[in-house]
Parts: sequence; structure tokens; C-alpha cells
Amino acid sequence: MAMETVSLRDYVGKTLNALYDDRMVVLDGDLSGATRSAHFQKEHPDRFVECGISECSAVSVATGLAMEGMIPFYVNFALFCTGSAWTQVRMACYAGANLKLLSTHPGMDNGPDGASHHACEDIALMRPLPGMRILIPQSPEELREAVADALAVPGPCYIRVSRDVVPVLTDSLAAGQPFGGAKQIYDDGSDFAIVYEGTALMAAKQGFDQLRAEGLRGRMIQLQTVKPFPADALWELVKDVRRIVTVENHSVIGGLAGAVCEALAERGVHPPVRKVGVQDVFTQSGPTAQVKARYGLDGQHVVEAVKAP
Amino acid sequence: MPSAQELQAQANRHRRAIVDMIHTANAGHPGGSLSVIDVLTAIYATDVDLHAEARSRVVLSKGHAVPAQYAILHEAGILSDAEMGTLRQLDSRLQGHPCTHRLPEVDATTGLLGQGLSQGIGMALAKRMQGDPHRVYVVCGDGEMHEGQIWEAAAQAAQWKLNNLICVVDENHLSSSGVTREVIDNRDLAEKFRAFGWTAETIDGHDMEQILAALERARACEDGPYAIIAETVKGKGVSYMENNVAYHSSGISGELYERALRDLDALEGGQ
Repeated sequence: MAMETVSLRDYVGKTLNALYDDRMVVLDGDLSGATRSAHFQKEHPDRFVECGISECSAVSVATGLAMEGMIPFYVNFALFCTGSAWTQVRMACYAGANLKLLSTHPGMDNGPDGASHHACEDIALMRPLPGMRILIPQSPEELREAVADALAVPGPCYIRVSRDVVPVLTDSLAAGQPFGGAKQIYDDGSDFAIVYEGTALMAAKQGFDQLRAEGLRGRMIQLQTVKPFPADALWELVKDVRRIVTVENHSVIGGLAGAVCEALAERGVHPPVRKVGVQDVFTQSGPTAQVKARYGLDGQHVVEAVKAP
Repeated sequence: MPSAQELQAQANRHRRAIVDMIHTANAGHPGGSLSVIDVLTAIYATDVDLHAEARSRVVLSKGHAVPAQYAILHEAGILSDAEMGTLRQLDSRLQGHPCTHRLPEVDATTGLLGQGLSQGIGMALAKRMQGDPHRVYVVCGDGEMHEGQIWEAAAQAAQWKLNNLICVVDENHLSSSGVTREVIDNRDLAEKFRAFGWTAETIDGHDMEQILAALERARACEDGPYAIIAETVKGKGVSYMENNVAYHSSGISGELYERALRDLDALEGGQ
């Protein structure tokens, strides 16, 4: 049976509209059609600022808006929100500015565009910035909660939203729980734990389903918050498993795997960790599913990582 | 409104504070602080009530000249005499570059060149959205004009017709390593701003009458953002620092400090 899927970017503008308050400003980098911030532009043209293809200035403009009490959301592709304007984001964090970065097209989500556009380093770029929070939803409901959280908590925040489709889960153990932290999605037993971020849900779910079909009993754990890292919550969910496999639409350096390993290292004895994601290489163009499969992000890679000796 | 003569005397008092601060810290950027202080003094004196809740903002995009801003905040009673001796020391509000979370009155956290004009644009946009009639002044250096972000920002400010934004370029003709024109030639900055859709003029940035008149014209302009290219002398007021690239970043110690004080004593308002 084919599973139902959704691309979260389709909810970006609609979610911002649903949560609109009069402090909000959305800034665009000439990509409002692709990021779907155009839906916000249509409803609130006076609060939509088209910055053009000027990512550095856009982030600093957003910082200035924040310093005067507005709540700016800079909505752009993941690489342009983070990498193209990194020192500008850093200065916003230093100022404690109430800046919100909302990105689409994370990781290899736009396969055909190729390595230049694949954002496999954005989590790594945002993690070391003091004060920066990183939220990764996997459903329209979670996106709404993440944006609500960004509005409620002052300070810089990065929300990473899938452009590729992800499965719609109808049987998640976390359904109905408030967004944030580490969430157990499935719990069959302690053979393994798949720890993933929301934009890698497809690979995590396909891998988990195959392992389940083969009779292995493990867990699937979503890191809804990558920073501040939910170290204690994650530990409670993984401390008794035989193996941990991290799954991310990102390089295995500095992102989810890095954050998990940094936290586990403090525990002394802990389960071994295998890392599924882009293995320190530049990718290439291709159909998105094929690119992900080639560069390490599909169900098969998850299965192999769990079963590898 | 103070007279031009009174403002010049005030700016020269600030010069003394700048030299004292950098002498005590034995580190800082005296050249650019001394070149910008006349313009900065005029901006604050004519349009920035530091004690008001809603007010005009000043973004010191050339953040290394922050001793000039601290001198003004000191005279306004925001920084104490004792604090003026803590520049660049641990736990001081007087960081080496402006930092709003320690000292909100500096209005913008800067230091990485090229970013302040964009921040000022964001503040000006916010004021327009909020119906706040106050203005935003952004003060840049001429070396800073090498930064590409400046020109991204210049295009945006014109596109958005920001009447409430004034950019002053402290064109002291020296950057960190040498003559700005020889590092990368900015050519005619006023012409460049005009090409981006601004109204722009060039003045003598040490002539207080000219500074006040240009600020008046800038505030009256209803045709988008306004740029004032203030031609200045790096290290202005201390003879051995003037036009001397060695005093871009330098402490001031011993005999050189004494000589600086003698030079400043001879200026209007110096003591």
C-alpha cells in the first residue's frame, strides 16, 4: 500500500498566515514561489519584504527589524539562510536578536540542482552559534508548533523544512505530545534505535519498516529539537539499545550525528553509533530519490547500518 | 539647538575622552574615532535624545570607532567616569566594538564591516511599519565601502524609498593597511550612491557649519535615502596621528599621550 506523503514547504506561507501577529515580517530572497512564502505575501503584502538576491543584507535587515521589536522571518533555501550569510547570522546571535530563519530545500531535497544547492552543512553551521535554537518538524502540525514556538521564545531560531516529500505518520507514539526535544515515534524493542531529523523521515521510516518486516525489534526516535540538544531525554530512549543509527539529510559531520555523539560521549559506556547521511563528499545532480540513494540516505542504507557487523 | 561653535567645542571634548580611553586601555582605534567624532557629535546633538524611549537611532557600522560613541554616551550621563577607564576590559560594558546586549544605548551590535547599513535599513523599515517618525543614521567608513553588502543594502534602501535613513560615510581616505584609494579605489562615492538611487552630497567632515547644513538637507529630503560623504582626516586633532595609517589601531602611551594632550589643549573647547 502506498503511503501518504507531504512536502512541508507547501505549508510555509499558510502556517505564517495562520499564526500572523502584527510584529511579524517575512523577508524573501527572490524565491517566494519556491519556498511558498508567496502565500504570506498575498495575505500580508505590507509585511512582506522582497530583498532580492542579497542574502547577506537580507539577514542584517532582518536583524535591524528585530532590534526595533519586530519578529522577522527570513525564508529562503537552507544554504542561503545559513551558509550564504553566516557572519550576519552570527552577529544577530551575538546581539541576541529575535531573528527567525525558516529554510526549505534542506540537504539533497532538490536533487536536480546538484551539489552547489544541496544544503548538507546547514545544521553544522548553526549549531555552534550561542543562543541559536534549531527546530526540525516533520508534519504540517509540527511546523505550526515550531513556528508558534519561534514566536513565543525570544532570540534566534532556525527552522528546517522539507521540500521533498516525507511520509504522513498515522500511528506515531508521539501523536498529541507537544513539539520539541527527542520523541519516540515507534518502540518495538531494544535491538536498535534509529535517531533521525524530520527531513530524513522517509529514509528512517523505510529502513525501520524493512527491519520490522525482517523481525528486528527497535525504536524510531525523532530529534525535533537539535539545539538545545535534548541529551537527557535521548539518553533515556537509547541507553538500553544494542546499536544507534543516526539518519540525517545532511553531512554526517557536524549535524545530527555530531550532536548525538557529543552528547553520548559524556555518558561513558554507551551503545555504538552508526551514521547515515552524506559521507563527507560533494553530491551531484539527479532525480532526488536517486541522489539520496547514491549519497547514503535511503531505507537500504539504514538497514545496512543497523545490520552491519 | 547648540551653535556650530559650541558643537565643535563639544566634539573636541570628545576627542580628549577618546584619547584618554585608548591611552588607559593601551589599545583601540584612535584614527577613525578622531575622524568621525565631529559628524557623530552633530548627529547626536541635533536628532538623538538618548534619554527618550522612542528616538532616532545611530548605527555605528564602522564599529571600531566606538570610543567616539562612548565619549558621547559618557557626556550624556549613560557611562560613568569610572567606566570610561574600562574600555576593552573583562566584564566592561565598553566592548572593543559596539554590543547592544551589554550596552543597549549603542543601538546596534556591529564590528564586522559592511553589516551596519543593512541593520539600519531594517530599523528604518520597522519605524515605518510602526508609524514612528524618528530616523536612523548609519555611520560607515570609506574602507568599509569595499564590502559588497554595502551595495546590496544601498540598492534595497533606494528600492524601499527609505526617507528616514541617512548614511554618513566618514571618508578619511585611509583603511587599515594604507591609502584606501590604493587598496581598492572607491572612486566618487557620492556618484556611486546616486547611481544606486540615493540623494548624495560630499562635505568637509570637520566643518561643523557644513555638517549641520548637510544633516538639515538630509532630514528634509523626501525622495528616499540620503548619503553624506564626509571628507575627513584620519586622526584629526592629534598632529602626529593625522593621515598616519599607523594610528588605525594603536595604543597611545608615554610621551605620545602627552603630545596628544598638548595638541588637543590647543583646540577650541580643548582643556
